[in-house]
Amino acid sequence: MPRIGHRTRPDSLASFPEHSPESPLSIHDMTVAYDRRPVLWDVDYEAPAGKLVAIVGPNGAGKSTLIKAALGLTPMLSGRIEFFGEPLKARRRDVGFVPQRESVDWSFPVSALDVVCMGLYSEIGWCRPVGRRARERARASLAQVGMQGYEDRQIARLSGGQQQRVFLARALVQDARLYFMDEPFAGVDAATERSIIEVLRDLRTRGRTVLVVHHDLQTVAEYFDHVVLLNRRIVASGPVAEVFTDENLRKTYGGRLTLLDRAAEELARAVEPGAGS
Amino acid sequence: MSPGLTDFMALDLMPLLAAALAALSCGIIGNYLVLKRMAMMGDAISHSVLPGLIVAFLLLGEATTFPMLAGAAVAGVACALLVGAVRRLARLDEGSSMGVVFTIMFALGVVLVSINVRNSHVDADCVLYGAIEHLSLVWEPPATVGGLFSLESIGGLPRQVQSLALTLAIVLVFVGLFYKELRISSFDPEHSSAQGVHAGVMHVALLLVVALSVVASFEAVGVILVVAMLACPAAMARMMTDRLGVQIALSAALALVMSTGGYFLATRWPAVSPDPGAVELESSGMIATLGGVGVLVAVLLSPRYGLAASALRKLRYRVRVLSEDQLAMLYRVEESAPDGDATLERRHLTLGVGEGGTERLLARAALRSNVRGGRLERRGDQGFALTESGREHARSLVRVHRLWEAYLVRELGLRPDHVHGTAMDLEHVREHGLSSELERESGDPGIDPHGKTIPR
Repeated sequence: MPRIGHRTRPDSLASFPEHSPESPLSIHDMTVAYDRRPVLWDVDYEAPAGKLVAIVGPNGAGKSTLIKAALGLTPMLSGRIEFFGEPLKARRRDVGFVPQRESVDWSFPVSALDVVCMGLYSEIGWCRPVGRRARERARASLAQVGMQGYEDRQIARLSGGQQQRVFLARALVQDARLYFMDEPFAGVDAATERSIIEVLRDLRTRGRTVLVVHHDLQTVAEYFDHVVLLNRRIVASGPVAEVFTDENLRKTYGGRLTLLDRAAEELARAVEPGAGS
Repeated sequence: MSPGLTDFMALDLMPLLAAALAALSCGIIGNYLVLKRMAMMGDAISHSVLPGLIVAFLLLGEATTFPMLAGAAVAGVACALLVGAVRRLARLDEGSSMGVVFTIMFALGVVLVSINVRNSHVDADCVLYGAIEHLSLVWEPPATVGGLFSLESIGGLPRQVQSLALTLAIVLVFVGLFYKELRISSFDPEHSSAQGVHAGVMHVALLLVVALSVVASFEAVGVILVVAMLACPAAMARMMTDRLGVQIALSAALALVMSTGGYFLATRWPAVSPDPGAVELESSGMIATLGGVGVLVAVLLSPRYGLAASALRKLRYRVRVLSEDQLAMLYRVEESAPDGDATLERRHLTLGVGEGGTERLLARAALRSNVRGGRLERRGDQGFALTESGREHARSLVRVHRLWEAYLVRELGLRPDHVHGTAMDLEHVREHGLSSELERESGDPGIDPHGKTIPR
């Protein structure tokens, strides 16, 4: 249940027994609400290091919200997030992000290389220009996703799959240790899908952790090591072989509202009549 | 100094300088408003400046420069913030929220003017339309051109010109220093924030600089027309390039042309007008009009996005399709000719392209381009036949056509008699790697669904 109002917060996650300081991502008691309607409740999660993790769940389950709240892009009602045992501010360069392709305006006057260079802005620092070495690294990153020769192409003149690969290259060039990817496989061609898989496996080989919002249940077992089943709360999480069961999937996707959901709906309606439509 | 130059310095130099500085500041910062699809925010800010000016005047009891500008700036920023607040609280979209906020602020200004300051120095017309021509009245030009550049005369410039110069400097420093940050936060706010460049902070900073530019410029062009300076140069430049840096440089150049051109057109109107009784025109109106004409020209003539270029591309594509169809037609005739030799006349090659006059012209152009490109050669009086290179080209076209047919039947389960037309369109698609992928996906069957051999 979301507790709306004040609550005391522990000073550090270290005081929690289940917390391991070397975990790439620790989420404790995250609750997120839009217009006081809870979208995510009491999420506790420790990401395993060096694994590919799929986040699956029905539409509106809060998959993207989980990523955005962890990255501080969406305010939380409560909760504490740590990356490698530290707050995001201290670990920004170790955390990479591939947003949904539809989240940006692709007619923007920048080239593929310009976009990839954006992955280095945090490393370059405020007010400094993008140097030649940064551009060289961005070029190499584009080549890694099979996009050599497209450096100077304005991004509107790339196919959807190529745009997705530009986003991937932008994340790769950052050389982060933990990556969030929001539906990288949505609406891409076969070549791009292969390229993304290759990149994911390469990242795992190098000990990186990748959390991927994923829609295609058919490929979860093939592509990923771990899975998080999400429907406004974590239904189950862990190794695919143990957690990705029919019963857990039923619990995640079975459209019926639980008692908890109904109570929360009523609560939202009581607090703000306009929101309870 | 010649009398002409003396006149120019006395009458035109200051208004011209003010117009150019205002256009540069607004034109440069306007790029980001246009890219973020919020140029109307400039309009909202400029309208809400009015109550700020009046309130500052009421508080001080006199029209002193910098406090008035400060009042205007506060009102401008308040408008930008209120738009965000109204959008959230009243659950409106951005456009409606702006419509609510700036009209009400402007109306408040109008009411305040009419109640309190009817006979004061605040001239509503001046606020609405600007009054750069008045700048020549408050400035004493030096005796020589060289005298312009002395410290003393720079200090003696009208204070509007001074504040415009300062604003331009701030705009240039802001865009130069935060070039990278403005780019990432305008393009991808979420990724920007994740990278530590807080998009919300950059947005507010941008609005502050916009408010500053608008407030400094409204005396030159008035609150109604300042949005033309924000939007037109950027909109024109956007049509002409796909690089942000080039776009900003171009927009600055266009802002200069628009402001100086507009000023001269307006003030020299009596000299060029056929009407002997013509008077000078409102220069702010002429500047904005010129901006509008410029955008129209850009829409027509832009090399990539313009209507002319797009029509030309369509024509070129049509000619290529027609010329490739001619080659493929000759290849098919060769296939079925007993001796493998085929000659067709022009009327055959231009057959079935429709009765329209343009189509016929295009078909002839296609034939000419085939002959000139060495793909077709003349045989006898009327005939055309494939050359070796033309046969090569035709073979690959027919191959791709039949591979597509095989693919459509095999992968999409279409009936063999339904696929010819679709394949006719698809055979002209040229994309790197597409044909080898097509070979793989269609299974490279050797014969097409109609039993014809797929050439190698």
